[in-house]
Amino acid sequence: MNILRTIALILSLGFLSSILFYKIRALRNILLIASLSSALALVIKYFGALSTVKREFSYAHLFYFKFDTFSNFFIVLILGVAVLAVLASWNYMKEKSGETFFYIFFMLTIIGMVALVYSRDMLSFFIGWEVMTIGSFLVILQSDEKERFKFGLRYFIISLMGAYSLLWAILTIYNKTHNFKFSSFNASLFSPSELTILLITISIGFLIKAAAMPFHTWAPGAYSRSPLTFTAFFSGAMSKMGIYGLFIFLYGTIGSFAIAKTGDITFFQTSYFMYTLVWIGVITAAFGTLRAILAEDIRVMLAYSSVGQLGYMIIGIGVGTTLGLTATLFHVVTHGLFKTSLFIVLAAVIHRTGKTKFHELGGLINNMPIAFIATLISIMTLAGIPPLGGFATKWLLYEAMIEKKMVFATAITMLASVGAFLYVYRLIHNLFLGQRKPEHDDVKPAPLTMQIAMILPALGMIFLGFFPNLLIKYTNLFLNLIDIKTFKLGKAITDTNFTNSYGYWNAFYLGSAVMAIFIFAVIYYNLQRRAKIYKVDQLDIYTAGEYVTRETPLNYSYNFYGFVSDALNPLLKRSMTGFVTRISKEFIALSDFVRRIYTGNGQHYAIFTMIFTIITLIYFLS
Amino acid sequence: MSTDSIYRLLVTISVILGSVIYGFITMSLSRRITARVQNRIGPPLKQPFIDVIKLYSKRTFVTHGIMQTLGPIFMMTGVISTLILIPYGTGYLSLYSKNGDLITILYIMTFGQLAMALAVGQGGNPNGAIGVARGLTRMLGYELPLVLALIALIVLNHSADVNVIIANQQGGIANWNAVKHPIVGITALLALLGMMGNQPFDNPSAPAEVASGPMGEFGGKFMAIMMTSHAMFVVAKLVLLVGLFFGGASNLFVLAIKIFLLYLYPLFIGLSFPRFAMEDTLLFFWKWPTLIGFIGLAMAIF
Repeated sequence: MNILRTIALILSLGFLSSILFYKIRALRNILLIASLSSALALVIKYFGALSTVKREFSYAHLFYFKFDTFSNFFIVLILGVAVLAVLASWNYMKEKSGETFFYIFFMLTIIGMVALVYSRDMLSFFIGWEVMTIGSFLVILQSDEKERFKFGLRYFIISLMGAYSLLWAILTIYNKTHNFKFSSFNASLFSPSELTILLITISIGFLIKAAAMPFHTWAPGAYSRSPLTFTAFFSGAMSKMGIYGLFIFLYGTIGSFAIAKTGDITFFQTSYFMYTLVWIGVITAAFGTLRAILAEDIRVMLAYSSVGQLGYMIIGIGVGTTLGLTATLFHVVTHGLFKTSLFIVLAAVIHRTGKTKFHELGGLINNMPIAFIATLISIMTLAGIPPLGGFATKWLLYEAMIEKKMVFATAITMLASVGAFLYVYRLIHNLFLGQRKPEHDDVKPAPLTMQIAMILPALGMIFLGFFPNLLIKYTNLFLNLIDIKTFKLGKAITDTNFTNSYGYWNAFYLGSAVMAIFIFAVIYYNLQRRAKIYKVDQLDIYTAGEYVTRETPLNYSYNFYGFVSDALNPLLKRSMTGFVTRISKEFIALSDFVRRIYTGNGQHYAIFTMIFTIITLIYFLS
Repeated sequence: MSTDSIYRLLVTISVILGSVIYGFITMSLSRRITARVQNRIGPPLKQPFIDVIKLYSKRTFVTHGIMQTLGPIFMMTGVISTLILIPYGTGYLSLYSKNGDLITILYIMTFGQLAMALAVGQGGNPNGAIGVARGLTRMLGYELPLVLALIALIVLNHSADVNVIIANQQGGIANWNAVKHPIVGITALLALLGMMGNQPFDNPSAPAEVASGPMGEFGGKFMAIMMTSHAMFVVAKLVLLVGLFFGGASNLFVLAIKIFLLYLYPLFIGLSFPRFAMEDTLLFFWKWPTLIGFIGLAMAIF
């Protein structure tokens, strides 16, 4: 059995069934989920184990694919998130105009991503990359939003710029090596300056996909205007392809050589290139968070939050030590979990209420209890509060940066993670807490498929909070393949004592202590509860004697962090998005001017032809 | 369980109880001092104890929903979890601080605050939500100088272990971090103003503006649990700061005096300055304390 062929076959069958059974919705969805989850099961079964299955596949000495831990780490994430997203789409996309094509292009995107992650040559990597971009662009167009064309096109054009940058680098490498295989790359063929240019062009290609600042301008629009269950996949899995690309090119292929060669110019024992990457990450994290704090649209807020969270991963790659890379890989997984969960919660809320702004919602906790629990766990993971999975990233990343003496970057990153607190509180407060609007009194809970899809990642986050070492076992397998020293771990499952040269942290004992204290507090609380509980109405609040009704606007939700925007007004006046918009406006004006040449008057055209002929004649005859 | 772990557990429990009592005494003293400054007599020393016992023995819960009921418990959990990671001394008094370093403490501190914020949110009072928004913004403000000071401290000591940082300061006042690295110390002391939430930066609960803000919807046992947690939290924060910058303490008596002296500093500043507007609070922390913090950090690494 060639495992790659089997996976390709299973996914192709899924793709085919999405086309063939487009009229039989239930059958189509079941087949899609079956196809994705059986591929996932297959990958997990043969994850890193040496077995009898054939794990390489090549075609015509041009395309090479390999099934190994390096790829499987990301494949599990992709397929896992895809299963959840398809499951959630069952109800979310039901009877929407773009439903049929949504599934077809969704499968196309997944197939492109699986191909690019397994590929071991630049040609199939690039083809997979483009299939992914085109597929996701087409999925965005299936949403109901009015602005989908505008933002979809913006995403596509900016992605295209990244792709050209990547293509240029790939062809430059091919020009020297005459082979597309990753392994045939030889750094000694290039001069240091050529390598630096290669590194920069390749990084731009991947940073655009990861929506790092200043290349993030497509992200808020594309994330918020696609069908939201796809955004769960978009943000949860697809944006990580930029991170995968950075890994494979900076550490796997040209990286280790290239960094060694350009590494003679260093700053604090780090090459300038990597130092720049760290600061790109820091700026992305800081400004992504700031924009998320001030967003009024929930989808835009989560989109900017995704931008900011990707910043942490870029920092980890830039730091480049065992701790830093482990942090990146860990965050790839935790971000995949909590962003999937959050976007599906949001999809459920919008599915049930039709509202997308913060100030139009509130008080849904009793209507959607499961969604509330999923959100609570997700935001605690996002903010990195210890007994949950998100803290591992923070700890690993900060210790890595302090070890490398990147202290200013550490301070700004920590500030960004405090900023994350602000927007996650706003998210949970303005959706689920506070006063409920009269028109939302009868909102039903989220559909069952969505509840499953939002609560499964939440369970994963709790599990990772207690046993981060189980995931780090896999990140170690990953790091082994790119010749990075692996993170030291104890043998036992409960041996979660992480140490490095600066500090230590014991996840399991800390988590257990918190749990024990919590259980003790609950027992203590209940023991002395002979008293009655009075549950009061939401209007029964302290209002200093004023009489309030349901119509009284009692929700503090519009312009929630107004003082932040007041204080930072000078900083917020300029933005990259504004800059890009202005350039595009100027470009349209220029095109409009050029367009005026085509006046529709035959005599004008005759004059143009005359002038052109004369100029050509003068040029050639002189 | 070995006798060692039983001793550690007993010491921890007594430290927790001691922190509560000491926290109440400190709060009571601060009220009396405030009163004397304002030419009043102030409440008797036992007043907070009377209040808390009265609130605990109330027979009714008035709640808006499950999160408001659970929030104070979560807050208590978060505060105790923070407290057991902070070393009060050496030996058994280092409690469970070997399970997490400074970065862990910094993050677990937020557990209780987030729980509190969620409970306030469920209360449905707009003043509460305004208070929380202000509190989080204030946190965004003071956290920058605070992390600058803490990172400088970690780099200078080559360790994020609070026990090691305390051990490095032994042997007289000259070895205290606040004296040895005065710029870092000043940054931390400025950040402490925001952390303690005394007057110039008491925007979240600003009585005349947002009707006590977050506390508005809580009464009875909720209030009692919150007061207890608050007392513990104040003590825990001060013990951490004393350990990091003022040489820790060889015994609990010295520690108590150091905590009280450190507590007086934000109190007196608060009595002398009126409240800042929220924007000014944020900008205050991001201007001078941050600049001083950057200088301190630069001096630490170069």
